[in-house]
Amino acid sequence: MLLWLAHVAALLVLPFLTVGVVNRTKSRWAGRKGPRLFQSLSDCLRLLRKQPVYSATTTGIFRAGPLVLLATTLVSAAMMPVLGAIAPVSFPYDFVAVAYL
Amino acid sequence: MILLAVASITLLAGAGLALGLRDNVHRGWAAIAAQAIATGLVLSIALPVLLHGGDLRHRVAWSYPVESIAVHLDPLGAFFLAWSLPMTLLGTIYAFGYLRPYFRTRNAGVQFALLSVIALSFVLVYTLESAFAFLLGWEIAAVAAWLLVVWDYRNQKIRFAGFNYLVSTHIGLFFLLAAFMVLHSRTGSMDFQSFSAFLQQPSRARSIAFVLFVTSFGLKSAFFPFHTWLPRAHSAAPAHVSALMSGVIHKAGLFGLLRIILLIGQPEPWMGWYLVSFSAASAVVGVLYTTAQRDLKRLLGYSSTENVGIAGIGFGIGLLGLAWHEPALVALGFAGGILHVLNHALFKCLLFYAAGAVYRATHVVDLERLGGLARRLPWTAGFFLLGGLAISALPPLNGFVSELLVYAGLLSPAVPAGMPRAFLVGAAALLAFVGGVSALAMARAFGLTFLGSPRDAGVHCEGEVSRWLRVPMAVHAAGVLALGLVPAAGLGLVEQPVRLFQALLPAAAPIAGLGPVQVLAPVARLGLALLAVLGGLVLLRAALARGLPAKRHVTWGCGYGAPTPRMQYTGASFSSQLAGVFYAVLPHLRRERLPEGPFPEKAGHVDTHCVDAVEKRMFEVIGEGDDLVTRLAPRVPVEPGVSLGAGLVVLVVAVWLLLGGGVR
Repeated sequence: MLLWLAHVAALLVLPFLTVGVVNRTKSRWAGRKGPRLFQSLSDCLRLLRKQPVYSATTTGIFRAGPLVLLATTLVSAAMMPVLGAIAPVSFPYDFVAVAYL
Repeated sequence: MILLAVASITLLAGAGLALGLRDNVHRGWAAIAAQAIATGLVLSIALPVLLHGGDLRHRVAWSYPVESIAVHLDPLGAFFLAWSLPMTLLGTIYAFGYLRPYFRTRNAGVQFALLSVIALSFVLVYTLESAFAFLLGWEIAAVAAWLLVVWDYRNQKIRFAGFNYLVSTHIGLFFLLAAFMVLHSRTGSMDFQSFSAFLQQPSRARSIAFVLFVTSFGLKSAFFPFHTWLPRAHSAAPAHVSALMSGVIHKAGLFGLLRIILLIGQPEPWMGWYLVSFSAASAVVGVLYTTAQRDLKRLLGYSSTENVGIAGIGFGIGLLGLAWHEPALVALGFAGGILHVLNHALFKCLLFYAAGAVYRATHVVDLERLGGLARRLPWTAGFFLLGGLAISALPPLNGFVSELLVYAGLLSPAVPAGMPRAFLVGAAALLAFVGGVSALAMARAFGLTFLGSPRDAGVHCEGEVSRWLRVPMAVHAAGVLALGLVPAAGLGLVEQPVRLFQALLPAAAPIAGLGPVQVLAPVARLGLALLAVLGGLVLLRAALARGLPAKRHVTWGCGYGAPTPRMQYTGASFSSQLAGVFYAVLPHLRRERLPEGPFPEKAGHVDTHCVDAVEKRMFEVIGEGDDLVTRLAPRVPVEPGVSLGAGLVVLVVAVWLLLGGGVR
C-alpha cells in the first residue's frame, strides 16, 4: 500500500521536478540563476485559466485528442515500474499493452 | 441435420423469390426474410455445438460416383457458421439500403439472390466433409462472389477486376484440386476422415499436399504474394460485397487451413515455420501497401492481407506447438488466430460499410478529393473511427485482445531456447512494426476523409446515409466494443475449437483452454480502467472549463491571409516518409508536368499512384509490362449477356449437382 502511494506521489511530482531540475542545470551552466524548480507547475495552472479558442474546421476529435493521450499516459504510468521492480498494475505480457497504449 | 437441410432449402427459396418477384423492394425483403429464418435455424444447432462441444455426424446418400458424403458439424465449423450467416444477413440488409438508388432502373434481385447463395455456400463448406461436395461448395462461393463483384459491369475497369478475380480464384481451385487428387490417389477415398489416416504419417506426398493446400487457401484468403486480385476486386465491388468478401467469404480459406491442420494432427516443425514466415511476410507487405493507397476501398483491401497474415502467424505458432508438444503454444496460437479471424470480420465489415456510406453520400472514394466529412456524416465518421482504432489493435477494442494472444504465443517461455526463440521474437518485432504502421495508415485514412476541410469543391455530400446502412454498422460496432471490453466472451467462443486442436496432442494435457484465459483476465480490467480514467478527465475538464466558454474562430494561418483547402496535408504527404524508406516495395507511378519558364502560362500538375510491386512484376514476366493490362482489359467481353449468363449457368449446375445428388 505504501509503495502504491509512493508510486502515485512520484508520478505526480517527478514530471514537474524533472523539467525544473533540467532547466536549473542548464541555466547554472550558462551562468544564470534560472527559473523556480516548480515553474512548469505554475505554467500549467496559469494555462488552465485561459479561455480556449478552437478552429472552426476542427471537430470533437481535436478536443478529445489531448484527453485520450493523457488517459493512456496515466494508465501506462500505472503499469510502469518506477520505484524498484514493482508496478501497481501488472500482468503477463503487460509490456505489449504499454507499447500499444 | 434436418435443420441444416431446411435452412439450405430456405436459402434457395429466398434466392428463387428474389429472382422471381416483380418489385425490387419485395425481392429484397424475400432475401432478408429467408436469410433470417436460415440464420435462426443454423444458429439453433451451431451454438450448442460451439459452446458445449461435441459434434454431429451424418451420412447422406449421394448419386453414383460419390455414393455417400459425410456431414460433420464440429466446434470449428460451428464457430465459422455462427458469425458468417448473421454477417451475411447484415450485409443483405446493408445492400437493401445501398442499392436503393438503383431500384427504379436496375434489377437488384440478382444481388439479393446471390447473397442468399453465398450464405448457402457457407452452410455447405463449413459442414461437408467430402472433398467432392466441398469443392462444389467452394465453386459456388467463387462464382457467386464474381457475379456480385461485376454488379456495375458497364464499367470496363470493373469488368477487368472481376475477370482478374475469377482467374485468380480458379488458379486457387486448381491447387486445391491437385491436393485432393494427391490424397485420393493415396487413399482411394474422397472423405476427409480417410485422408486423415494418411496425413498423420510423415511422407513426401503429405508435404506436397500441405504446400498445395497452403497455396490454395492462401490464394483464397489473399496472402502475399497471392493478393494482387484483392485490391482490384474490393475497389470495384459494391460496398456490401467488398465487406462480405473481405470479412466473411475469404475466411473460408483460413477455415480450410485449420481443417487441414486438424487432419494432419502431428505436423513437422517446418510446416509451422513455413506458415509463420509466409504469414509474417503477408502482414508486413499488406500493411506497407495500406499506407500508400489513394482509394479508400483499395486501402481496406490491402489491410485484409495484413490481418489474415496476423491470424496466420497465430496458426503457425499453434502448428509449432503441435510439433513440439507444447500445450501452451497450441492454446495461445490457435486461440489468438481464430479469435483474430472473428475480430477481423467484425471491424473490416464495419470499415467497408463506412467506406460504402462515404461513397453513397459523395460518389467518391479517392482520399485526395475527400475531407471534412465528419460534419456531414457524423455517424459514419464515428463508426469508421471505431473500426480504425480496432484494426490498429489499440486497447480497449477487440483487435488488441487477439493480437495480445498472438504476442503471448510468440514470446512464450514454452518456445525452445536458441534459434526458434530468436526467430519468434523477431516475428514479434515484425508484428509490432505492423501494428504501428497500421495505426499510421488508419489515422491517415480517417484524417483525410473525415477531418480538415473538403479538398475538392466538385464533391457534394448528400448528408447522412439512411438507417438501412447505419443499422448493420451499429451491430458491427457493438460487436467490436463487446469483444474488446469483455474478452472472456470472445474466449468463450473460441474455447471449444481450441480444445479440438489440443486434443491432437499425444499426452492429452488436461489444462486445455485455461492458458489464454489467465493471460487475458487483466486485459478486461485494463480496458475498463482506461475508460474510467478518460471519463474522470472529461469531468475534470468540464469542471475547469466552467465559466470559460470556448470560442470558435478560423484556423490561424500564421499570418497568411489566403489559405485554401489545397494547402492541407495530402495523402501522399502523410505517407511520403514511409514510402521513401520502403521505395523498393512500394513503387510509385508519377505523372507530372512542371510549369515552364519564369512566367508559366499553363498550370502544371503532379499525379502519383502507388502500384502493386507483385502485380507489376507478374505482368512484366508474362509479357509486355503495363501494356498487357491495357491490351487485355478491353477484350473482357463488353456484352454482359454471354459471360454473366455462363456464370449463372455454372452456379445453377453446381447447386443442382450438390442438392440433386442428395435427393437422387
